[in-house]
Amino acid sequence: MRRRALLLAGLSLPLLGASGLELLRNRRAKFEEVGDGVLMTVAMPELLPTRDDDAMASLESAFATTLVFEIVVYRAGHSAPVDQRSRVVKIQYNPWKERYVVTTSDPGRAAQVRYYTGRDEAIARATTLDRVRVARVSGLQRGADNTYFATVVGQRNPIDRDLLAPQSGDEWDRGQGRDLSVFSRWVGIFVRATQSAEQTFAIKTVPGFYLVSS
Amino acid sequence: MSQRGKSDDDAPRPAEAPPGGPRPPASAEPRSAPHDAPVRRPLAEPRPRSTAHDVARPPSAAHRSTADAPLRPFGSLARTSVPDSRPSDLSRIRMTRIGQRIVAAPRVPWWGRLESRVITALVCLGILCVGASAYLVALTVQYFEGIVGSATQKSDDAVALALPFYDGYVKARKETYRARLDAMARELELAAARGELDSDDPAALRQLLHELLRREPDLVELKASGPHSALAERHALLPEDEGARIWVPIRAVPLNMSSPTGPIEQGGLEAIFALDPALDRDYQSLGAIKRGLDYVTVDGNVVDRGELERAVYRAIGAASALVLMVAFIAGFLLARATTRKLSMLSDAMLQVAAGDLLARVPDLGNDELGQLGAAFNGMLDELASAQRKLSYLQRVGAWQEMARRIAHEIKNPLTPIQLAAQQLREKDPGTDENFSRLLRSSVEIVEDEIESLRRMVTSFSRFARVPEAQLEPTVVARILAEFERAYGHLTERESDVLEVIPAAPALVILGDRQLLKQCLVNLVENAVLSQRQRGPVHVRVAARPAAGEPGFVELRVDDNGPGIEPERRERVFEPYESTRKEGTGLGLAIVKKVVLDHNGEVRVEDSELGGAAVVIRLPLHDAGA
Repeated sequence: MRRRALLLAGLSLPLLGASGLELLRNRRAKFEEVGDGVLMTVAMPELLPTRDDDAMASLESAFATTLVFEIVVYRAGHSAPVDQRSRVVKIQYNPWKERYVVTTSDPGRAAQVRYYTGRDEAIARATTLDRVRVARVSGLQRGADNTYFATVVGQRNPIDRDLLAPQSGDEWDRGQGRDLSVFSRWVGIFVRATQSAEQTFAIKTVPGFYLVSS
Repeated sequence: MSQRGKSDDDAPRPAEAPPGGPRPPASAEPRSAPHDAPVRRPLAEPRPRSTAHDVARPPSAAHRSTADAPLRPFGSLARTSVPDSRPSDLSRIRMTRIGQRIVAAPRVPWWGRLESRVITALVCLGILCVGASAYLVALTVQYFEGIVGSATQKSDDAVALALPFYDGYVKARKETYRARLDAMARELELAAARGELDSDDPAALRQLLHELLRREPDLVELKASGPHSALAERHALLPEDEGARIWVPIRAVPLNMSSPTGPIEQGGLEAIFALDPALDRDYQSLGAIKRGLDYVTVDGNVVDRGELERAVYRAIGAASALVLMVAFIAGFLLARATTRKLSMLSDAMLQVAAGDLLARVPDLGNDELGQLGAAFNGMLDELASAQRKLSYLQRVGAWQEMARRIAHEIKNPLTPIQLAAQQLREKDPGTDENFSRLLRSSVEIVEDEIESLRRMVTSFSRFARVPEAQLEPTVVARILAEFERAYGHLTERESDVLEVIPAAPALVILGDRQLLKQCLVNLVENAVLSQRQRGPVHVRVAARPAAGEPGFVELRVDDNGPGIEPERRERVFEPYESTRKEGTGLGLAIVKKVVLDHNGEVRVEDSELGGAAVVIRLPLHDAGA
């Protein structure tokens, strides 16, 4: 019995390692209650650091850089999310107008476009969630006993699978291609770190917040 | 030494001990001999089922010819100096034959056994093959990864080279727009110089701007700034936000319009051009492709090429481990299946070497090992048969020697006793009738007993003088014919029937005709004597090829007597074994001795005639052999 448990543990370790769990960094954030909304302000400059030469070269080459934020609010001590939002920020240098364009898109709302002549200014704007509505007040409970926190998972340039070379097709469904398909699935078992974006950075707001009792 | 020599001469050897007589105990061999003395001691005590050990064994023919050691039972072949103090524990002992000796040694550990070695060899081979294959695959992966990496790098370089072109294109396009705007400013200045504009008529300037706007299809807006600013816009073009156009604003170029009457406008001319965004979209696509160069999808997951390479290595390693495991299990099973047979063979041989002649190799299949096991079993059967035969012949020989001595010792005084008795009868004076009657009666009793003793001595002598068989090609039919001609009178009563069935003339054996006839006589006499008191005798003598055994002939003597119980059928061939009061018990013993001398076998079974059938099985003579 003990041997079997050890064997199972040994076999499951690589699978756990391959699951690609992200580590959440603690980050101080500012929360405001405005109307029925809770607004959060937090900066994530790690998502597009100016010291990242490749990222800067790509940006200055007028390629669009897309930042995707997934914001989830949890109640402390609970695993079920209270509210979740997403935001897509696109930053691009416009060589025709010689300025940086930061386009912010929230689901259900019109995109906001801002222009900056300075790169760092545009990056700061793009990597900062400025007064983002993260939850509805009516969905939260007031009082110091009800603490909430938010997690933000930011991705830079999520990989568009449609642009990747397809590895399966009709030729994979017959003959030797079937063997290749099986081999591909076999290799897929041993992929430990899947890549979903050029850069991923995740934070957890510390400390949390609570709504003061009225 | 003299006492020992006397003891050796006087004490009957185990092989010579008569049945039922005092048998030397198992510990008769000197146990006090030194451990390293040449005296061979039994390695293992014979097992209880080994009944062959209960009787004294003849020496093995092979060892009799090669070894000058005294005769000893077959089981003593495995006797030598034994280092283990527990000789009966065969599981801890391994015996190895070295020349004429079998050396006992502790059983080898598991890693030294053939099974372990074969499995180890198979595993090593598997590791070698799988490792070599995995290494080749890894090299292949590295090779193609290098090629793909190089191609990716070239693509990256190509994209990097394309970037300045776009930048240059943007700059050139903007220069073009500026040049066109500059040209339009000059046109306005010329028009003013020609007097087509008036400083008091801003509508004329707007008109000129609109004419320019109409003439330039990609012009979205044209604006003259200064004291008399004017603006001309094209609303037909879709707005920039919808992505249909890129608006390119061109900073103001100087505009100095002067009419013949004086200056009209001192300012600038600005414009916004609309650009087809197709090239820009392609450029953005190029950027997306550039970002995707380092990624691939594997089973629905996006991974970078480095991780893919590592995953391939891991997959190959795992596949190799699986293949190795399968190879290990298959090799283990295969080796076990093979070496298990060898182990069975080895165990059986060890048991036989330890003296257990009843040990047999189980059925090992039809492969070479199976055939070897079957051959070994056959050899053991032959050996056991030969051992029984030799044992029997030794016993018979001992009985013959004893019979010869008894006959010699008894026969000599019989004649003087008989003569003395006759003299007593002749010297009877006849004066006393009672005395005479008593004397005659006593002399008759003495003479009867002398005659009885003489018959017994004759039987003993005949038994002791059974000659060695002189084997020569002999036709079985001739034996039967001569037997019928010479001994047809064995059944004297008319109701008795002696039926001799002629044999096929093709049945030829290597045999002694006289001895075989004597066998038939003994068997027929036995049959007649056993049935005579009960009623008519019916005896049938026949010879025919043995059923299912080509190369053998069977001589059968069937009778209608009382038969022989199955448990006595082996014992009736022992000397002096008889149920008849007047029988000596030597006839069947002589028969068996003769048959064994002919390399044959004899057995008793039920007869079709209701009594017993004695079957003599003899090998046919192969003329070509």
